[in-house]
Amino acid sequence: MPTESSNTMSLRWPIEDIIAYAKRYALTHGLLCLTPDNLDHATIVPFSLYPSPYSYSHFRSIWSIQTAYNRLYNRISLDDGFLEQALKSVLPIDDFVQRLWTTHRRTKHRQPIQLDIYRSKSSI
Amino acid sequence: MLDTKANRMRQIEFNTISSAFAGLTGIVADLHKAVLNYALENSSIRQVKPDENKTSSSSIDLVLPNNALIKSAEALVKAFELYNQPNASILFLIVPNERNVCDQNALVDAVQQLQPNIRFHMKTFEQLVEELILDEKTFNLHLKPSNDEVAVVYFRAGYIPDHYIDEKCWKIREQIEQSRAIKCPTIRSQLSGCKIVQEYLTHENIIEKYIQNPELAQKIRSTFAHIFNFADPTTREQNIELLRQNPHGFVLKPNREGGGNNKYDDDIIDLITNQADHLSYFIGMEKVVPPTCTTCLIKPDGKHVLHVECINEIGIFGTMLTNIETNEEFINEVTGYLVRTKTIDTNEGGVATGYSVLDCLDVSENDNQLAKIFAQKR
Repeated sequence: MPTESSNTMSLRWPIEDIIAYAKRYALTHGLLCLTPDNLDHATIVPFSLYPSPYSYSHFRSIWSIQTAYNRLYNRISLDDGFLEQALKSVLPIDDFVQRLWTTHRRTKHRQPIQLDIYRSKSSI
Repeated sequence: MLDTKANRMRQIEFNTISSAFAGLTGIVADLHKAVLNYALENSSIRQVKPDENKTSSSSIDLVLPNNALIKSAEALVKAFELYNQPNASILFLIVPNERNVCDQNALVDAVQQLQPNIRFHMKTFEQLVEELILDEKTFNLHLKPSNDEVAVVYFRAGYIPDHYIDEKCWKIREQIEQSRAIKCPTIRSQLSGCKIVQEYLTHENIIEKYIQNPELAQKIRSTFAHIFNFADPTTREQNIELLRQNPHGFVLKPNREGGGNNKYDDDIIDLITNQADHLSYFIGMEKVVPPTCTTCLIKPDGKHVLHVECINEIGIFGTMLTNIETNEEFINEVTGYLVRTKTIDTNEGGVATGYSVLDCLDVSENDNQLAKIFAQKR
C-alpha cells in the first residue's frame, strides 16, 4: 500500500461530477428499466457509485459450492416423493402451490431435457 | 461490525424461476471499473476472476468478469440445439407492462450473438391465450400467426398467482408443461424453489441422499441458516416460543415468491398473538445480520443518497442442463454473481421495487478504503 502522501489514492473530481459520469455511463450502456408511468420512457436502474468491500473467502465459499447446489436442486426436482413430503404442510393451505403440484402430477412429460437458470442468495 | 452469531455465508433463498438481472449485473462491474478509473488518483485496479485463488491484494480488486449473461445465453443455445429443430424459436413468457426490459433483451442479444438465426417471441399469458397452439398429435408448441415452433420456453412470469388472471392462463401453463418444448423451468423445478422446500432440506439426512460426497454435503449444510416451520406439531410450540422470546432475531417469510411480504419485529408478535393459525403460511428464519459498509446509492431524478450505511446480499447464478432420463449433465456451471445493496433500515430487498441498488464487489480487504476516499471533500 502506498505510504507517501503524493501516492495516496484520492478523488480527482468533486463527487457531483463523478455521479454525473456514472449516470451517463449507466444510460449509455443500458443499465436501464422503463418508468412505471410511461413505458416509452426509460430510466437508470439504481446502482451504487463504487463497489462494496467484501471478504473474498466468503464470496469464494458460496461460489465454489454452486455447482453442488445446482445438482441438489436438479435431483430433488425429479423426486416426486421428496417434493410431496416437503410440500405436505403447504399443499392444503396454498391454492397456488397446490395448483402447480396437481398440474405437474397429471402431466405426461414428453421432454427429457430440463434447463434451469438458478440464483442462490446468501448473506454473511 | 461482524455478525457475532456466525461469521459465515448463509443462504437466504434459492430461486428456480425468473432469476433476473443476469443481463444487468455485468454492466455494474464494468461501470464501477470505469468510474474508479475516472475518479481516482493513484489507484491500482485489478480484476480478480471469481474462480481464482487470490493470494495478494491490490488497492482495488474488482471481481470480474461476471459471466452470468453470456453463460445463461450459452445454456439457452445449447438447449435449443438439443431440441434439434433449427427452424424453431425461443419463447420468453413475460408479464404485461414489463419494466425490466434491458435485462431481458440483453439475454436475447447475447443468444443472437451466438446463434444469429434463432428467432424470439416475447409474450404474456394473455397473448398466448390467443396465439399458442399445442399440436395434439406431436405435442409440439406453435405460435400464431407465424406458426413458429417453440423449442424453449423461458419463464419471466408465472411465479405468483397474480400472473394467472384467469383459467385460460392456467390452461396455457398446462399446455406448455405437456408439450415437447424445453422449459426453463419445469413446474417441478419451480416448486423446488419454495421456501418450505428450503426448510425441508435442512432436516437431517436429506441432502446426503442426493449429494453422495460427504464433504460436499457438509459444505452445503454449512450454508444453511437456522430455519423452521410451524406445521410440525412436535416443534410448533417450541418455535413460537422462540419467536416470542426474541422477535427481533427472526424473520417470517411466506412460502410465496415475489418479495415484500416478510414479517418482522412487532408484526411477528401480532401474528403469533392474534393470528397463530396463519403461521403455517410462513417459515421462520434467523435474521442474518451482515457487516455494514458505507456507500453512495445512485437513483434516477437526482434522488441519490450519499455516504449511507448499507448491507449487501450476494446472489450466485448457476445453470443446469440435463437429460432426466439418462441423467446426462450437459451443463452444470457457476456462471456469475449479483450484488444487491440496501440501507440498513430497509428490511425488504427488491431492486425493481426500489428497496435496493445493484452493486459489485471490492475484495481487496483494505478496511473500507473506497468509502473513506469518496467521503473526502474535493
